[in-house]
Amino acid sequence: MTRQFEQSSLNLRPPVPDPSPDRAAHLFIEGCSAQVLETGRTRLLAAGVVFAMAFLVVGWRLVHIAAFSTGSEPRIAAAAPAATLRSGRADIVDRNGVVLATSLPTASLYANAKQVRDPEAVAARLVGVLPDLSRTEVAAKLATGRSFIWLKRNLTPRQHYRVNRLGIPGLYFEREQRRFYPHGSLTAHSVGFTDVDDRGLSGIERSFDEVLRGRGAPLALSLDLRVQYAMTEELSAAMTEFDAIGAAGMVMDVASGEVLAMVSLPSFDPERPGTAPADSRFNRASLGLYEMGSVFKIFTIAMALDEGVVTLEDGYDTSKPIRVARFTINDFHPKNRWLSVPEIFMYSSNIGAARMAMDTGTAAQRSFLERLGLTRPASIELSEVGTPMLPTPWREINTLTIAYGHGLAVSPLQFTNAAAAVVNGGEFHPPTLLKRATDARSAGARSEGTRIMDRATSLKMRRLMRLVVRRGTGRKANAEGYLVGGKTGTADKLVGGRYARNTRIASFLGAFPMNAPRYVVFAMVDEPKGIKRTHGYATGGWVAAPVVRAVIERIGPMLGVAPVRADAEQDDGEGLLVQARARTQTVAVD
Amino acid sequence: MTRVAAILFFLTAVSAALFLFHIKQEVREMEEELGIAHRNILRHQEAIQVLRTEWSYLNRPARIAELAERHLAMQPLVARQFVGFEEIPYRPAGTTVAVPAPSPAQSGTQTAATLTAAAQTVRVGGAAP
Repeated sequence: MTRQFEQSSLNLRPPVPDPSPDRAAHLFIEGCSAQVLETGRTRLLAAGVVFAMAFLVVGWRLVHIAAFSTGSEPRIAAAAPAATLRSGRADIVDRNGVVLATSLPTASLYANAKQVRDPEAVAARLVGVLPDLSRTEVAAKLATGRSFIWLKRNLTPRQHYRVNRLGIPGLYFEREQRRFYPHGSLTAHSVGFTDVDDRGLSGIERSFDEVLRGRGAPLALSLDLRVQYAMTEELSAAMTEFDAIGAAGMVMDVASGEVLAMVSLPSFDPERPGTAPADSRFNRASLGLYEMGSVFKIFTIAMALDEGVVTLEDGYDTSKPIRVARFTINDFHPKNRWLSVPEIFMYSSNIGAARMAMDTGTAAQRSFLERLGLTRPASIELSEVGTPMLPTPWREINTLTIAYGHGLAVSPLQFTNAAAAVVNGGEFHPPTLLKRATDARSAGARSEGTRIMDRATSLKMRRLMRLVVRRGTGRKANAEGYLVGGKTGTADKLVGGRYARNTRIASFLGAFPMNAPRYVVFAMVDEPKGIKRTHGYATGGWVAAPVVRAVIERIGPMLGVAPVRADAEQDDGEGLLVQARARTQTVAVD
Repeated sequence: MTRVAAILFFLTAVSAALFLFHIKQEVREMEEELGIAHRNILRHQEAIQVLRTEWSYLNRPARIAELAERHLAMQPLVARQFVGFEEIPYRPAGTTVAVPAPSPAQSGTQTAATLTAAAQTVRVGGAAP
């Protein structure tokens, strides 16, 4: 068609040059192909209109977007997401945000020996800034002429800077990640450690391995570093003084089951776990199983009171030892008379506790201990958890010995957790090493506990435990102002299947303040030896009770527990004994 | 007329192209800046991380205890240093204190009653630590 049009226009050229183009144009219209021209014009116009419409639409859209757009377009420009530091492994912090474990980029120094001109001089200068390198070794390495030789892994930023400042050609750095534990051995057992490839091998590092890899935000533990330190220091002092082989300590929030301190001594350096002996890496607090001894009477008495087998005014004759099969149950502090329930607890009478357990029965005892979580491994966020050693079969003799803490081995963690349930009003909260999201005390989020005994029983136990500290075997735990209540325990250790008289576990379980307990504190010293100051005694009352007192005196102000003046305490335990004494007289009259 | 329009359109097109080029250039520069800023953020975050670790390390309780013992004449807090509100004694009678007058009218002649009231206010106000 175009061709046709061109042709026609060619043909239309005038044969004679015309002076005026207008006239020529005029001539065109009147020419023979005017109709063809008309068709072309119409088509052009149609195309023009179509294009104009299209441009109009585009233009309108432009105006619309620029001027009236709302909807999908954001009104305020959002900042591009800032690059966040992906360290590869999240931090672990304590409940106050103190860093317990962190991953830091470090520079590792390597050399390309081909580029090193004078190995001797370079070695000398390097050792000048990295004193722990051996000069001869470095010189020998550099003299090999290999193109890649590690000189030192994981330099500190300062060392990195110093080596850089030397400006030696042929030395290079490789960026690596490394796990650091600023507080070293203080939290080594609960936080755990990782291997060279940043895989968690123990503690929280192991149980939260996947979580720590996947997140950026730090993982907050329930531990309070200050409390942990106070417990560690007091326990190690006791360990040194009594020449013990180990110790364990726990501080737990009774309302939430949060572990504020979990100490196992001796400890180790989590940055060099390989160099520590296995005994140091062993977590005595959660993995170690111990026959706890008399501290277990807390549960025996609570059980007997809760089952309604005895009341606080009842009692038992403890003048004669109990003989069952080949066992003889004796008292450590014999009173040789009828003792009321508070007295049995106060003087820690094995005979009394055993008789009480006998009256309660094996089935009831078993179910009670089950409810307290003492028959299964503690459900804490650690893989190092001991499975309690239960007697199989659970005979009557076991019931008697368990009444005063022998024949059933549990971990200090389980024990503390169960004791927390006894004093907090009778609710069991599973132990946890993670900080609770909401403050359990303020938000009323205390509902998740399971009731395991009457509130009234728990209130009685509080009074009894306070009595032990005021007048009984736990007097050395009486931290001024903090209304400590508790129970001492001294257990002979099983050595080669026999109870050895001179190897024992001295422990003390304390709770404070006893009018409304907030924390339980447990201290246990493994194989303390008697010393002159304690007249040769190495019992719970002499060894562990002072530790608990010292710890409570230190942590009370930190944890915001208001002290009570000594003369302001309303219940001095006298009432319990008076009731019991009245009963004694009645019995005598009978 | 057509020529003027054509020139106008041509100029508009050229200026639009120049403007676009300018904007693009600016965006590129800003993107470069953003990249630098991000790299700096990363570097600073890394530095903060190192400093936080060092801070935690320097705040080891054992070290703090040692420093406190060496440099401070202080002792750990003990329970008997705490005193309840009800144990704070009343101000002895007769002592006057500079208290803003309860109202301008009474400022000249303070009666015993207003004095006591003022003392009460001070006691309650001053009791908060």
